[in-house]
Amino acid sequence: MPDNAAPLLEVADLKIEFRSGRETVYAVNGAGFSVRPGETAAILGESGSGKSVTASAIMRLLQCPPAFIAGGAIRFKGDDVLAMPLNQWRRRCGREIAMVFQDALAALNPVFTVGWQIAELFRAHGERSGKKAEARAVELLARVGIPDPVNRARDYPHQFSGGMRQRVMIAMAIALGPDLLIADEPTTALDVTVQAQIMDLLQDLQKEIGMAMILITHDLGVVADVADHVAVMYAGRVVERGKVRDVLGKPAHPYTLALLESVPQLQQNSQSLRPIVGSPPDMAAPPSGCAFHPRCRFATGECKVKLPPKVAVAPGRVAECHHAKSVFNGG
Amino acid sequence: MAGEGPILEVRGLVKHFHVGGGFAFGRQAAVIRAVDDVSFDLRRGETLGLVGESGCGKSTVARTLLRLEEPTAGKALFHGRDVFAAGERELKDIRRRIQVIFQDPYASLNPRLRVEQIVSEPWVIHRDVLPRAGWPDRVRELLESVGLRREHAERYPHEFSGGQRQRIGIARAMALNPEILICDEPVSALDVSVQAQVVNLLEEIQQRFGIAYIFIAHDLSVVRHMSHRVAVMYLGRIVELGGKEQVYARPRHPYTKALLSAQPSIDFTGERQSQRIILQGEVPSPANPPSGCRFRSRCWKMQQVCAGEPPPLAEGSESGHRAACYFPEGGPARA
Amino acid sequence: MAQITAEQEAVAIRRGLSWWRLLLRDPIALVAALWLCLLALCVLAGPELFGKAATALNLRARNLPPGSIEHGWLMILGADTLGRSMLARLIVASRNTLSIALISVLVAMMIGGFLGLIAGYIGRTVGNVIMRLSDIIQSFPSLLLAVVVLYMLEPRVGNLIIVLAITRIPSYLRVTRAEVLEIRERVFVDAARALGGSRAHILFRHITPVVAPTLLTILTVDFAIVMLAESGLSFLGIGIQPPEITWGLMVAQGRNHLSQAWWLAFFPGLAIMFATLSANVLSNWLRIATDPVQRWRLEAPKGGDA
Repeated sequence: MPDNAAPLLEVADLKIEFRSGRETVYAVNGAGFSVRPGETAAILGESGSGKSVTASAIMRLLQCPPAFIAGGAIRFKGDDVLAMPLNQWRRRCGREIAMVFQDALAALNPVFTVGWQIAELFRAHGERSGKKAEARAVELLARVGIPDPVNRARDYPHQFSGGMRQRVMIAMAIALGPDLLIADEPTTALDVTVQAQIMDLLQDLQKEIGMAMILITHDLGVVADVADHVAVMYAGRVVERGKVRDVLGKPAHPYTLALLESVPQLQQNSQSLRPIVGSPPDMAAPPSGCAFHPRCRFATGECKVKLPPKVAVAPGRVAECHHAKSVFNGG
Repeated sequence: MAGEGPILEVRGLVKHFHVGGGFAFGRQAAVIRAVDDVSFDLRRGETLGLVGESGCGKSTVARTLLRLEEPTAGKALFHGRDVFAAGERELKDIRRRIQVIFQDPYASLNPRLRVEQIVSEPWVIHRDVLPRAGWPDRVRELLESVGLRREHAERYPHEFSGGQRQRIGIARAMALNPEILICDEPVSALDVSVQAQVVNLLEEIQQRFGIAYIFIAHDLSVVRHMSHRVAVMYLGRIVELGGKEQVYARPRHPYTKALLSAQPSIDFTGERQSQRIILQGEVPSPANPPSGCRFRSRCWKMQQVCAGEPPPLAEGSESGHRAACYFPEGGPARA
Repeated sequence: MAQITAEQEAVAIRRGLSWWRLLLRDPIALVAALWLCLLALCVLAGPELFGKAATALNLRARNLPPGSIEHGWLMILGADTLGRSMLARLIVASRNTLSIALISVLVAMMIGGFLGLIAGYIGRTVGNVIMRLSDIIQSFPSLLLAVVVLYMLEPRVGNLIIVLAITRIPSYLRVTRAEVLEIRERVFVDAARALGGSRAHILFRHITPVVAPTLLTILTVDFAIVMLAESGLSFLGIGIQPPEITWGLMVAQGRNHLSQAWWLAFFPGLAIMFATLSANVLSNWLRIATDPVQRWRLEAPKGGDA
């Protein structure tokens, strides 16, 4: 993909808070990234990093309150998503942008057959003939690799295995040929061999439809295998972004570096792992300055008080760290 | 460190679950063959990794070894005593020496007890280990040895993060100085950045006390990092067993090969993508597994013979590297 | 392992407040507790202090409406058909009422809870036998059971307690068994078994503390049910026999005079209501205060802003 194409989706300085009586959780703290048409962007982060909340915000699925968008903008094809009337955005969801969830069983309605639920999607988006809608549903099930689709269309979600259910979710997401697919931990609950099947399917479909994909995951390996670009999130901020090979090959943010060092490798016999000290931050009371500083071995006095700037260490490479250049050159 | 004779010998372990049915409904009860004829040795001070996908029976092996489930058949000799045949008193003594860490650090600690009560519980049960006056000090010592602080003894489990709770679980298991520690997916529920802390802690404990681990996980990289030897399970059977180098670098069973190739990894050499094996279909139901080799329904090497007798777990050209396959990679089994 | 010292921030320093301070922070629970203390005083010393006043007839004060003190402050709540002080009678009746109710629900809870633990944890056969027995008790109309038993034995306080307890056993039994069946599958129970813990150890250290708060909640609800059941039996003449009195009996007797003297039934009814209400409030507070995961709700400053 050309690097200079206009972005399909742009998230800028997004801030999301969850306010409850007891406390305010600063889930997203100024996250920004963009996705170009046709490319696969990964958002990498641990639980509580704000990656899933960001995805829900893009789809406008957040319950407000308790969620509260405190700042920033989301632009899809140049239109301001957050300013758009909700029903107008809902009409574009499905046709232009769609989402696959981690827990497919919870995302499907347990009391309707799978075929009916997919057909309903076509009906909701203008297919008049019920028969035709159902035929298209079966066709779609076949396309995502579900054996015996005619009969399986009459089954209920609980009758499918985890992997098959995720295929159904994917079928529903791609039904209307979206330009952007957001996959939120699509394979986290699945076994590795099934994960490989699903990732394979997603990549095939992506080529076929020519859609862009945002892959949200905590798994470095999945990112390395599938994505073109990656945005690494920590404590509600995108701390580093760039091409996957560059970022994972030569990280410029201490968190990315530490993450790579703490994960055992499949190919080699690693010696002792180098864990990241401490625990992920409590987002109700995030650390001052750079949120990673209590766990960072590069931290200096400056890191405790000053939010780090966005440092461009190389073309297309941005890291939010006071010491990005030295990490990039030394690490 | 891995040497001498085995301290645990498991032979022909079988666990079947009977589900459903009941005469009132006139339905036939289904038999889930969770574990079928599993045998392995555990040597003093070594780590035996047990990998496989969900439903392969690896956790059931752990639960039967702990007698949390009663095995259907088989033997497990621990210092010459059969764990499966032990009576109540003998079992209590065995449990003192075989301990466990569970996957879910949130569920494995009683939320109503303070950390001090949790860690000292082993001594409540085994009264002769430590006189009561020594408990408070020993609890705090144990907490420090797993990387927590002494004052944490006063707290309740919900005040800790997942990684810290797993440390509490480890401290509780260590309170009895066990000889074997069964780790049932000890890091799967933890965040990536915290996993390494717990992995390192477990390694350190093994080096200090020479405890043998049975390390169960579905993450192949973690198992490679932790283990000396690895057993790969599929649908209730061990399909491959060997030193970790043997299994990871030169897998012999087709399933092991597929499993390794499916594991995503941050390796950009490019060979991997081309070698990736995407298995077709799904794992069959353990209530109705294929005859003969259980992997045959998804195997690209399947032949007539695979449907007959189940292939034995046989040694190949390298000693100690066994695979249950009629057509293993790197040549057939030694006669 | 020095690197772990950075973990300190994950655990918030939260020292628990003492029980008394905790209670002071919750005014509703505090009022309930004070009310129950007052009732306890009445139970302990009431009959000795007011026994005479409760039986003294004053024909001039027959059916005296409440609110006047011209016949003495004991008549503040009015007087009954024989001119006896309502207030004194309420105080005197508290001993019978509350001790009968409390003892029978406690007995029911202990027996039901114990059988429930066994039915849930020990084994299927034993469990089934216990459950069928409880089915039998439940399928029998409890009033009929009480009438038969009390008719065969004599209507004494002790027998009344036995009857009331028997009819309440099944609810504790069922709830306990259901909870045990759920808790026994939890991982921390597996952990205790793997440590070599005996059945008794697991039942009493791990399962009972989790079940107890639920039982306490049922107990307070049952408290009211039992008081009313006792009044029903007394009304039928097989419960407490006059001249002994209970609040339930007072309600039952006052019912005949509702149109002329509403206070005869109203005040004992009110006493029953307040007693159960405070028991409920306090048990709810206790349930939260004893749960380490919930306790912060009581410690957090009131007002709801962070």
